[in-house]
Order: sequence, then C-alpha cells, then structure tokens
Amino acid sequence: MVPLGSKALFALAGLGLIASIAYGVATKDSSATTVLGFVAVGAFALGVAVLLAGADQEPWVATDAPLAEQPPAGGRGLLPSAFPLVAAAAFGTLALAAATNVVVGVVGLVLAAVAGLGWLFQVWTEDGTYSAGYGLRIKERLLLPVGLPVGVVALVGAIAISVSRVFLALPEKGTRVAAIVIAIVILLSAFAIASSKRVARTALVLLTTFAFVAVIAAGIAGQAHGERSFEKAKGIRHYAPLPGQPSTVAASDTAGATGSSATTAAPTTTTGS
Amino acid sequence: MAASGVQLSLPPADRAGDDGHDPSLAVYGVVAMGVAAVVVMGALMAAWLAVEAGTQTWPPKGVTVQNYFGTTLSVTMLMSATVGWWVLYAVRRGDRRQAAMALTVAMFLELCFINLLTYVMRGSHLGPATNAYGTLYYAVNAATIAVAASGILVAGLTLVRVLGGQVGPARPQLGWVAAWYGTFVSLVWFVMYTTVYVVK
Amino acid sequence: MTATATRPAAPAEVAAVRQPPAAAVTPESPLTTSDHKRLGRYYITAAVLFALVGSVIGVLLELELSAKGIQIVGTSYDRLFSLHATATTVLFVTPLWIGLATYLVPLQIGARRLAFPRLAATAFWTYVGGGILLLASYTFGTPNGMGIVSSVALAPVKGVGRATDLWATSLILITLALVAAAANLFVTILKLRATGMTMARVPNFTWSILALSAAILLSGPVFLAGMLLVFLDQHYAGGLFAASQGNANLVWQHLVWLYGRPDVYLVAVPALGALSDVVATHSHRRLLQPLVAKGAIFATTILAFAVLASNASIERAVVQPTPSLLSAFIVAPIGLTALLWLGTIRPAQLKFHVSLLYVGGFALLLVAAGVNAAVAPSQHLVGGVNGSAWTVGQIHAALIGAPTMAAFAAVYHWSPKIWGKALNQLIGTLVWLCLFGGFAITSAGAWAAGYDGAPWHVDNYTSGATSHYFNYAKLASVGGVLVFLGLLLFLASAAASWAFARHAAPEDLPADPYEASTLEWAAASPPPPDNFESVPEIRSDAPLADLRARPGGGAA
Repeated sequence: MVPLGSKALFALAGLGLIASIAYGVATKDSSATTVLGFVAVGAFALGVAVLLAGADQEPWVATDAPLAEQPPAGGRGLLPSAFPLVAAAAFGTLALAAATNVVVGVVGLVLAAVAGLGWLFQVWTEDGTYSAGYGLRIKERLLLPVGLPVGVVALVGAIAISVSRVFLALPEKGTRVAAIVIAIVILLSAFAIASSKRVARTALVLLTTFAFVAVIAAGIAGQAHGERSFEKAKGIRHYAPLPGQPSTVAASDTAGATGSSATTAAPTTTTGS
Repeated sequence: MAASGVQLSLPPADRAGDDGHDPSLAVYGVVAMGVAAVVVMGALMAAWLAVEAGTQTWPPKGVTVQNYFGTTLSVTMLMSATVGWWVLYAVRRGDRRQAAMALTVAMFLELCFINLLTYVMRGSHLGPATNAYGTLYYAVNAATIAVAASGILVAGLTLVRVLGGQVGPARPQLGWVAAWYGTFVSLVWFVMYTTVYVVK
Repeated sequence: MTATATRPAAPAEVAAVRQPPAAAVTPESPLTTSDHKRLGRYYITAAVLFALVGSVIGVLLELELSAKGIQIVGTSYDRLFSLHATATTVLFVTPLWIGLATYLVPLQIGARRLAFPRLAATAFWTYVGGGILLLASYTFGTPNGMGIVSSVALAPVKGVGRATDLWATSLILITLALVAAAANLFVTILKLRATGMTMARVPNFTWSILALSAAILLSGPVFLAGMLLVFLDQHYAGGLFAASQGNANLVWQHLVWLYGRPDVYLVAVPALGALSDVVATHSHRRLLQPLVAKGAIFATTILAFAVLASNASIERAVVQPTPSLLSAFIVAPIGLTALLWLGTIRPAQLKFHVSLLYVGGFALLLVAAGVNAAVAPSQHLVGGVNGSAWTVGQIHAALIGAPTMAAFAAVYHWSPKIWGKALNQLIGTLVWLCLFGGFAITSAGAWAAGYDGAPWHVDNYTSGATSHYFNYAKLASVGGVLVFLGLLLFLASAAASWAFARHAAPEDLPADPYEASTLEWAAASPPPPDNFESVPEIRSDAPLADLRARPGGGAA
C-alpha cells in the first residue's frame, strides 16, 4: 500500500515531469527543462524514500479494546554539545572569508576541523558500546602513541614557523632584541614556575594557551607584514680554493626575497568565443 | 575473532544500541541531503545549457576537452561507488577488517578523483575570471570537489566507527550511509560529466 | 468483527532506556542545547528580531518617498530595498514557520525529539549567523545592485565586491540552514511517528510541514546554485551575468525564480495546516473532511511550483505574485480549505480565542489581495503589475501580511505549550490591531499609489501626481510603524509569559486548556525534556478525543 505522502510526492514528480517536457517543447528552452526535470527526479526520489520507510501501517486492534500506552518514538534526548555552535561559527567564518582574506578562511577551516573531530568524539562516547575502560585503552594504545608525537611535531613546527616569520619581518637589530627578549621571558617564566611551591593547573594551562596564541598571532602578523629586504651580497667566497685549483668566486644571493608579501596574480583574460 | 598483529580487544561489534534510538534515521537523512546535492548539480547544468544556448559554444576557442580525462574520472567514481556497496556487504557479514579496507579504498579513490579533477581544472586555463564559461566551469568543478571531499569525510567517519566496533550486522545502518553517500557523490559527478563532456 | 475478537499480542517492549553518562561533556545552556523546544523558541525570537530590523528599514524607505527632496537613505535606496525584502522573507516568514515546526512536530507525532537534534542546533545557529552577516554586508561598503528582488541579472562590478560577496555568501549560508532544517523535519515526520499514526492521521500542521520540507529540499538547492554563481561572478567578474552575455537573464531567472516564485506561495502552506488545527480545536470538532484538507494542502504545494510558468514573459516574474490563469488556480485549494474551516465552525460551540482574530486577519488580507489582483489588470497601472507601486501593496498583503497573521495565530494558539502559560489575550488583541492594521494600512497606501500611477523601484517621485504619492508614502510609513510596535509588544508579552511560567506551580499551567484532540496537548505545559512519559495508542487523527471518549481512560 502506497502511503499518502508517497502519493503526493509522486504526483509532484509526475506533474514536474509533464511541465518539464511541455515547457521544453513549447519554448525550446533546454535549461528550464533540465531544472524542472531534476526537481521532478528529486520529488520522485523523496517519494520512494517515504515508500521504503514503511511506517505507514497501523497494527490491528479490536475496536472495543481499551487504548494501550506506548513509549514515545525516538531515542533519549542528547546531551548538550557546543559543537553545533562551533560548526555554525566555522560556516560563518568561511562565508566571511569570501569577502575578506585567506587568513579568515584558515581560521574557518580550523574551526570546522575542531567541530568535526569534537562532534565525532562526542558521538563516539555516547554510543552504547562505549565504556570508560575501552576509552582508556584507545587512549593508551592509539591516541597517545600516534597523537602525541604528531601533536608535538605540529606544535613545535607551528611555533618555529611563527617565530621565524616574526624574525624575518623585524629589522636586523630588532631581530636580535626580540630573540634575547624571548629567551629571557622563557627563562624567567620557567624559573617562576619551577620555584613556586604550588602552581594552579588552570593558571598554567591559561598561561601556556595565551603564550601559544600570542606566538601564532605574531607569526600571522609577521607573515602579513612581509619579510624585510635583504641586501644582495656579491663576491662572497663560499669555498676556499683547493691546492692547484683556480680560485672561484661564488656570487650568490644570501636571500632572494625582496621584502614584499605574496601577491595574487591578476587573472588571465582569454577570450573564448 | 582471531586477528594477527596488534589486538585492541575491541568490544563486540554487533550489540545494538539500547537507548531507543533508531539508527536508520541516518540513512534517510543521507537520502534527503543527497537529493538536495543532485538538484544543485542539476541547476548548475541548467545554467550551463542556458549559456550554451546563448552566444557561446562549448568548448570555447583555445580550450580542449579531453575525453580521456573525463572517462578516467568516471571510471574512478564508478569504482568508488562500487566499493561503497562492498563496505555494506562487509558490514553485514560482520567482517570488520574487510569493511575497514573497503572504506580506505573508497577514500583513496575519491582522493585520486579530486586530484585528477584539480589537475584538469588547472590545465584547462579556464579560470573563474576568464569568461562566462570560466565562471560556470569553476562553479561546477568546485561543487563536485566539495561533494567528493564530503564523501571522503563521511567514509572517514564511518571507518572510525567501524574500527570502534560501533557498526556491525546488528547495526549496519552506517554501512548503508557509506554506500548511499558514495552513490550520490558519483551521481553528482555524472551530472557534471554529462554537462561538460557529453553535451557539446 | 465481534466484541470478543482476540487482541493480538502487545507489541514488543522497547528496551529500557540507557541512562546517559553521569557527567555531561558540556553544561546545558542556550548555546549548547539540542532540545527542539528551546530551539523552537529561539527561532521564533530570532525571526521576530530580524523582522523588527526589516520593518525599520521599510519605514525608512517609505519616509524617503514621503516628500520631495528627502534624502534619508540617499543612493542606498536600491540596496536597502533589497535588504528589506530579503530580511522579511528569507529571515522572518520562513524561519518563523521552521521554528514553530521545530517546536511542535515532535510533540504532534508523539516523539521524544527530532531525528537529528544537533543538526537542528547547527541549522539554527547557521541561520542566525547568516542573518547577521547579511545585515552586516551593508557595512562592508556599497553593495552592488538590487539583489534578488530584481528580475534582471546582477551584472558584476569589480571593486564593490566585498559587500556583494558577503551578501551572496550569507544567503548561501541561510539557504543551507533552511535546507538542513527541512531535511531534519522531513525525516522526523517520516520515521518518528507514534505507532498507529499513519500519514492520513498526522495533524494538519505536521502534514503541511512535510509538504513544506519536501518543497524546500527541491527548490532551495536551485537557489543555492544560483547564489554560488552570483558570488563567483561578482567576485571574479567573469561576465556570466554581464549585460552583453547572451541568456544571462535567463540563467538568473531560472535559478532565482525556481525558489523565489514557489516561496511566495509556499509560505501559505504551513499557514493552511496550522489554521486547520487552530479552527478545529477552538470549534471543539474534528475538521470537516480531513483527507480533503490534506489533499488541498499538498495541491497548494504542487501549484506553487506550477505558477513558475504563470507569466509568458518570465522577465518580470521573479519574486512577485503575478496574476494569471495558473496563479489563479492556486486560489482553489486555499479557498477549499477556508470553506472546510467554515464548515467546521459551529458558532454555538465556538469559544473565542485571540488566535481566531489572526485567522480572520489572514483571510481578510488574502481576500483583499485577491480582489486587487482581479481589479488591477483593468486599471492600466503604470509599468504594469510588475512596475507599479501597486505590487508593494500586493506583497505586503499576500506575501508577508497574510502568512504573518497565520503564524501569529499559530503562536497564540500554541503559546500555552511553547511558553508554559498562554500569552495575554488582551495584549494579543493589541498586537493584532497593530499587525493587521499596519499591514492593511501599508498595503492600502501602496495600492492607492499604484492605481494613481506611481511607479515601483524609485527613490523619489518626480513626475505624475507627486503630492498624492507623498501622502500615500506617509500612510505606508504609519503602517510600518504599527507593524514595528506590534512586533515589539509581542516580544514583551512572550518574555513576560515565560518569566511567569518558570516560577508558577504546575497546577497553574494546565496541559490541555482547550480540550484539544491532537497529541501535543497530552504533554505537560511546557513539556519535560523527553516530552512524554508515554503516548496513547493512535487509532484516528484525534487521539486525545479517543482517549477521553473511552470509559476509564487508556489503561490496557
């Protein structure tokens, strides 16, 4: 027996198909025919889905039998989750990136990754087959052996690249000052943490997070600013001549960068007739 | 279930969820969103046909459409869609190893597809700023790549849950999701293939 | 069938509900909830807030036309016109219905939750984010052209890109959110109905939401494709929609049109469903010919697509209602449904409720629009029905006004369920006066201006009976202010009801104040997190009436 919903959707599909063909024949407009045709196909597919859902049968009961109680349909309500909001923020950021720049797009992609992975983790732990012991085993045998090295390399790489962008953006003397300042800050912070009797875990996490974000932000700012200009060094002898060999002068640029940030190439315009 | 190599002592894979949740909901959700994705491609195809009916013929001067690439992309997508149904077969048999392998192959094939399509896009010298066809060509390819990337994501999520023992003969619904989603991704490509390579 | 027929074995028991882990991953808050009831309330609030913004812009636009030389919005008129139109249709009317559906559909079908609760949360926040970005797009610069209101394609202008880029991408975002919400509702109605609730027995509002969801799943993606092309063309200036490009307008119209035209009529589909439930409940009777009503609702959906071809020249028929034979056909199922309402009402049994005022307002605005649609072709409007100020009146009466009346009828009817306490009826009457009066006055002003020869899409009247036009614009501004006040009053009333219900004793919040017959009234007001402890067996489209009719209630 075809459910009422299926009948309605099949009717929509049939009329859509007729409209598609009739419109195409009348106006010779293949594009309208195509789009109406696809709508008809879509309606048909939805009608088939309603048909296959197969939930339109009513169980037989005697007319005088008292009304029974049944549990409501659907699973229990889900636990609260921040990941839908993070996912929406990711979409919004990506939409904003289309009107701003690539950096905003990268932020959007990072948010999307956080939302996706976090959501997966939450669904995983909410499944009936999950248990705390199983989670611990996964953590010890998979996440830590794989995730920890990868995470550390990524973290070190991010810090190294960010710091290098800062150093490349600053003037020569500024670079030396910055390097000394960073070294002193690290030394003093480590000394303070090591010498204090008790350091609140939250404070430590907040501090390191803030420091990491500051380094990354500085790196982004440095990249946006662009590298400083480096003088082309000529006539530098890199290699001492071997006995008996003529002396050679290897003229080389120490760095070819000209101090401008990456520019987008203008789109080529070719006329396609 | 004996296995060589690292044994993670995974929990039994075929224990149905006992919270009253109906896992088949995911399948119908995929069907609904799949219909929407195919209609998007149909609309882009309609736009293409409208431009073609105007002043411009396809392909424009200086642009070559190589059927070799189109065929290779189609074969790759066909294989990926077929492998998606292999995933379902393995899940229903309770063969987690086979299901995981099939999902990995499906993801790899979709990655190859994206790689080749990107290469074809770059080689066509038909950017979004070139002309009307450039905008359309870019839109159609970008939409196809986005759908294929989402296919990799869905396969990846299914792989994680297969490995975690949350998909099995008693709960094959995610296998159905992987199979149907792979089919919709290939349908999206075939709409594009018909538009770009067949209707000339 | 004998009285001693053996009853089949009871259905297998559902396995005991597994309790969630003791510690939640994140605390429950408005930002982390996936409870459809909270999300429904948020949708309603967000939609009304966006409508407030839209109405302010509308008032400014009318004030711009109300006297010679006024420069309130200046050269931004076209862009603000588009923003006003987009905000009120895309950000208000459709999401308001989606919000009501998000709240009510699981309750009406006897389910604990939506099919995909977290997807519903994602869709809501994406809609809000997209709406904010759409409004903010104007702050990025001077956006290009008139957007989707225009029948003519949006020719790319390089250099003004950022604002137009953001406008296009935010529309993509909002459409994605609506498509995701529609998919969620579609699957929920398909799979989570209580046992015995066949499609023929679902309440009319749920049935209309099924139709609306299917229509959004089919037309929304077409609009998505169109907006993607608009974004790419505006951003890269490839010339897809340039004036010199052959068939550019055809592409524009096909893609924007397949969403814009049905949407004009699709906003009436949930109105028909909701008002059928409202009328039947307050009449204390089952709706006359319920299957016919369901057929009429789906016929409206199908005909909404059919009116795509209502005008031989689709040039000017993008988003405006256009009088023609095919668009006249759509009056038939709407009229039939109204007749069924009239047949259901028995004046002696009818108990007055403020929602019935809104039903009357819906009908009056539609009748007024219909009468004007019949009269207009004989009046030789300047610019025709799509170039005259007359169209503004038609839009405000039929496209925005009538569905708003219907939505508020639904909100007031279901307010005991939504906020725990019914919204104050006296304030509801005041809100009705403001909204109905506002829409009626705005429409009347625009119709009069149109009949007097005033054109549409102009930021200043420079020719014709300009002194009359200025007065009509002033009248329309008054209407806009009334609508704004009505919406503000509604928000205040809803907040007060919610605050009361949170501190009230349960005995002060009756579950079923109307002696209704549909399932949502079996839940407490407001419902608990899982909606129901249990639901009665469904044997008809009026399960609560069946329960009350059985001696001794529903004990097995």
